[in-house]
Amino acid sequence: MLAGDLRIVESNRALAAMIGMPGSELAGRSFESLLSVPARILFQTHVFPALMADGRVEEVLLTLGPSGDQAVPVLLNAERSEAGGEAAYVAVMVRIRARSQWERELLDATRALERERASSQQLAEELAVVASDLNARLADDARSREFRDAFVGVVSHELRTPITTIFGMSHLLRERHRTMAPDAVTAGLDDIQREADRLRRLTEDLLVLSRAEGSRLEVSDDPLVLGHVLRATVKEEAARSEGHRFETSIDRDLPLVLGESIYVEQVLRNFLSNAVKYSPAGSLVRIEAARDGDGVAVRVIDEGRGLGDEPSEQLWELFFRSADAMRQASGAGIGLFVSRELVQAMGGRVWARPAGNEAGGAEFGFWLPAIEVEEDT
Amino acid sequence: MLPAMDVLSRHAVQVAGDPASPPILFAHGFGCDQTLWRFVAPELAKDHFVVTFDYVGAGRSDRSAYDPGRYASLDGFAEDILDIVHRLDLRDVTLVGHSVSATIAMLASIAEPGRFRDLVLVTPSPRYLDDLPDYRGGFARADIEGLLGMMEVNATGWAAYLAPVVMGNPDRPELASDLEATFCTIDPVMARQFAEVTFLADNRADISKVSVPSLIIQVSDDVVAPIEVGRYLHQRLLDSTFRVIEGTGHCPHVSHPSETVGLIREYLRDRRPTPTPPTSAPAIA
Repeated sequence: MLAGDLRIVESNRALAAMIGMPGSELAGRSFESLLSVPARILFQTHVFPALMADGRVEEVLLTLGPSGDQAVPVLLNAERSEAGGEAAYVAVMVRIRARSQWERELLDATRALERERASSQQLAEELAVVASDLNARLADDARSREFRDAFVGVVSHELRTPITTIFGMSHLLRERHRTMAPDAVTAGLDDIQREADRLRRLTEDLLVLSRAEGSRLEVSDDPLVLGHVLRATVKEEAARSEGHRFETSIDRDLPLVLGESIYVEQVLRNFLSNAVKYSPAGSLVRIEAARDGDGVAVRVIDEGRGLGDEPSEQLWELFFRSADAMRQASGAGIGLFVSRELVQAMGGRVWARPAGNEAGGAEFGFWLPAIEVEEDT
Repeated sequence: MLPAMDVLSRHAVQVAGDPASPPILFAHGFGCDQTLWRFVAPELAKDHFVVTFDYVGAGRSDRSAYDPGRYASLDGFAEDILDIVHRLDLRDVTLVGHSVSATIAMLASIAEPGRFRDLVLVTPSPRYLDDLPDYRGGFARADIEGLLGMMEVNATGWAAYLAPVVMGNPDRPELASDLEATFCTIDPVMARQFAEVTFLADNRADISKVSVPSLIIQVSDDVVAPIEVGRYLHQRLLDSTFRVIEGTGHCPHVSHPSETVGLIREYLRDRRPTPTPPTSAPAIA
């Protein structure tokens, strides 16, 4: 029994035994003085405010007596009552050596469980990574199976056409060239050369494709003089496509770019042959190259039927061929995909857009980054 | 970065009194929450604009806003006070801090002295650990470790400990209907860190940086903040007034509410200069 100021009014022998102090000496002492030093802090900061404000506390662990190992753990229950009209408190303390032990074990078990949980969570996270890895691989497998099927279909068709021509025409010429009209012989040889050239390009694209699939497109860091490569390629291509007019507009002071000349040739050839393929004979194909931001933009502009209704992004997909394109000419749907792969490998980007000229036309372009030239200032 | 949560809900800020009256901001100490001010705040709200709040993790604060990094030192708590002062645009604030919040109040006033008219430091201690031979804070490190251990064990049964506390009390029917049903609840994680930060802090070097006048209220028999610690602080704190309440305990605002209010009122009355009408037009500088 405690007075309103928490001094001991009356106590039983059990408490005296717990403290190891005669009961007569307990009366008049403050309750706080029974506690260990840490328990006094807890009492003053937590228990006392609760007791004063709400009149009771239950099951608070405190320790009695000197701090350290000799401290006696007790569980305090206290409640306000009244004694002779004055506030008073009844405090019951239960010695809890066993419970304390049990609580300590519970705490240890809780901590162990916490650690267990943390490690199983980590395990779960690792498993999730493995699973998503597996899923990605499965998806990759599915993609590569799809790819292989499409590849075999498209390529066998694309190979068969020129080979059929070359095979048939060479056979014909060999058997009958003596009796054929000279013009017919020349035309036959032209056919063979054209189809052989088509075959050569296809194999070049396929080579790039296989490298791109394995991310093995290598680009040297040698600077590239774009103007030379462009002029040479356009000249070569123009000689091959006599039905079209070619016009180049290449800025004189183009910066050096980061790129691989054979890649640039291949991209430009793809763009030019597309321009020729999808625009009427006699129309103009313009090639422009100009500085654009930190690099150089190269544009191939034709006077054909334009891009059709498909979103221009689709054009760059592998094996994609627009309905319009399929009506106009044969093709594998590899060239633009390969061109984009090559340009991206060189750190550039590609685009396709309506040319905006009177004929309708399409513009295919690529951009390559210029090499930073350190200026001596 | 979390979206800026409103300071008022983060700290369950409560206001009372006329907003045009001089503001008093009460900061609760370690161990409980703002409801401990309920024995003194309503009385002062008669002629003051009274603001109380909970630190994050205590009472009805938004516990999801608890940031162990921010509260790894008392400066984070001082920032809380400044956040509230700014949010409510309080000026010439009387900042009342209990226990560790007395130190936090000092830190807040050092950061922005212009915002505070005076500090009321209730049972303060700038350093709880002894630093012998020159300083006796009252505790050895082992005592604090004992406290942390005891708190940890209590935390496992925390709910059991608290549940009966918040139940209706036949002696105090107003408590049953009282919405303050979260009396003294503190998140165990917050409580432990708060205990560590509080009891291991050493802010003695900050005392001389305080430029705002202050009232120190000490209890004659307080095991947590011994009276010698109060004297130590008073001797080093510029423009401080030292008053002692005869009694026992660490929470005079709970155990001796009328004396506490009386001391605060007396101090504020003496401190407040009677408004004098300007005798001449202000000089143009």
